[in-house]
Amino acid sequence: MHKHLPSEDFERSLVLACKKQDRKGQHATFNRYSGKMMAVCRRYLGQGPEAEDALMEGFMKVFSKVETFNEAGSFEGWIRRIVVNECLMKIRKQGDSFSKNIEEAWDVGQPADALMHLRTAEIEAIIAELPPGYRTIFNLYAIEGYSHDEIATLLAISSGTSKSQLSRARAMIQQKIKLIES
Amino acid sequence: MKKPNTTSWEVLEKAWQKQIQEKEVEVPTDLWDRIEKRLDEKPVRPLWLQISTWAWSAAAVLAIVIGLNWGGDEPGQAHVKTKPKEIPSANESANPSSINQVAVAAQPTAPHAREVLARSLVSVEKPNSPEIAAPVQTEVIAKPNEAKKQEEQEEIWVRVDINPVEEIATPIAVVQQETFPTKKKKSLLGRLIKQVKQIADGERMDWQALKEGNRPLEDGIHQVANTYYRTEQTVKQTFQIQ
Repeated sequence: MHKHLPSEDFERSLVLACKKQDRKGQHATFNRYSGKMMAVCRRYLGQGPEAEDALMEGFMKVFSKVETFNEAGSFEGWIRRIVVNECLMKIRKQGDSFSKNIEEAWDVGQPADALMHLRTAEIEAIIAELPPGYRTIFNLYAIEGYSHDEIATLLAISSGTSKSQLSRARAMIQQKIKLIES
Repeated sequence: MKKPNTTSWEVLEKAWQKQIQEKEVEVPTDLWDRIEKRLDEKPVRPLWLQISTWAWSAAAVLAIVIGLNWGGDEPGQAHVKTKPKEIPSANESANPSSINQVAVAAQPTAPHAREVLARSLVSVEKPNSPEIAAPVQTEVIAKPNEAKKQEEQEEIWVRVDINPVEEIATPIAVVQQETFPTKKKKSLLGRLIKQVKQIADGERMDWQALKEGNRPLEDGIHQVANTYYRTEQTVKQTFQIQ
């Protein structure tokens, strides 16, 4: 795994190289971001080959659409959005996980204290055990930072459904931690 | 709908976000090779784009021409093929099938015919003025049904007793019929083949000759030309966008 110091100059040089379709620059970009993006894919799609496919398709899009990157935000954030979109496309192909248009949100109360002290691997394990619909919306809202309106647009559901699915995901996480504690 | 308490959850999720977003996992070693291989691949043009545009335009024109040729056989658009009227001989004229033929047969071409006619003709004494003779003949022509009845009654010939001056005047009509035979037009396919031969000989194609007298074909050619131009523009724009 290649580790780089976070440097805006380095990121800019990568963008320029990618825009010139320079193969070395593309390889450097892949080396820099592929580890993080693979983690994103695994969170959405699990350990199967779909995650690798989504990563590959995502980077193909990054290299072909890099001309449209206007450098307003970070390059990493732009790549992440592309990869997340690829994951969502794969999820849609797998089946209709978001067909339940439930508007009613649950009151899940305060999160258990134990949740604040979980390690990364434990957090990932809890998220991975969620049903696909809940997991996707929890990932989009809690981890990626999308708003409910953005999620509604991305998944072609109502904003209320996004909220209700998030509340159910939180309730499920709460139950799991209680089971672990007991 | 109850409003969930999300304040603490927001804090928790921010913390999780930081932890998880920095996480990196191992990437399969061959993944970059696969990406590189795909980047090296030249974009494959679809088969329909590989066929050159002139071939498409030629096919379109041919299709339209064939289509119009079919349409040309419809009853409403069919060419009226007029057969030049045959002038019956004096013997044949004894059994006329139309009033025109009666008129034609009125021409005493041979002495024998004159005798045959003389037997069956109704003699009508009129003053020897040719101006009077003509209306009588016109009346007969204008009433074919009556003439048919006359045929059935074996009164085949209706004729003014013509003096030599009148007899000379009558054949003029016949001559006029002969001098204006209906021009037989070549069919569209025939004209098309002629044009193809012309092109094969190295000469330029004469569109005017091909579309002459064929309004649907003329319209069709313009339509094809417009469609072809628009398609070409669309294809060009598509390539520019890609």
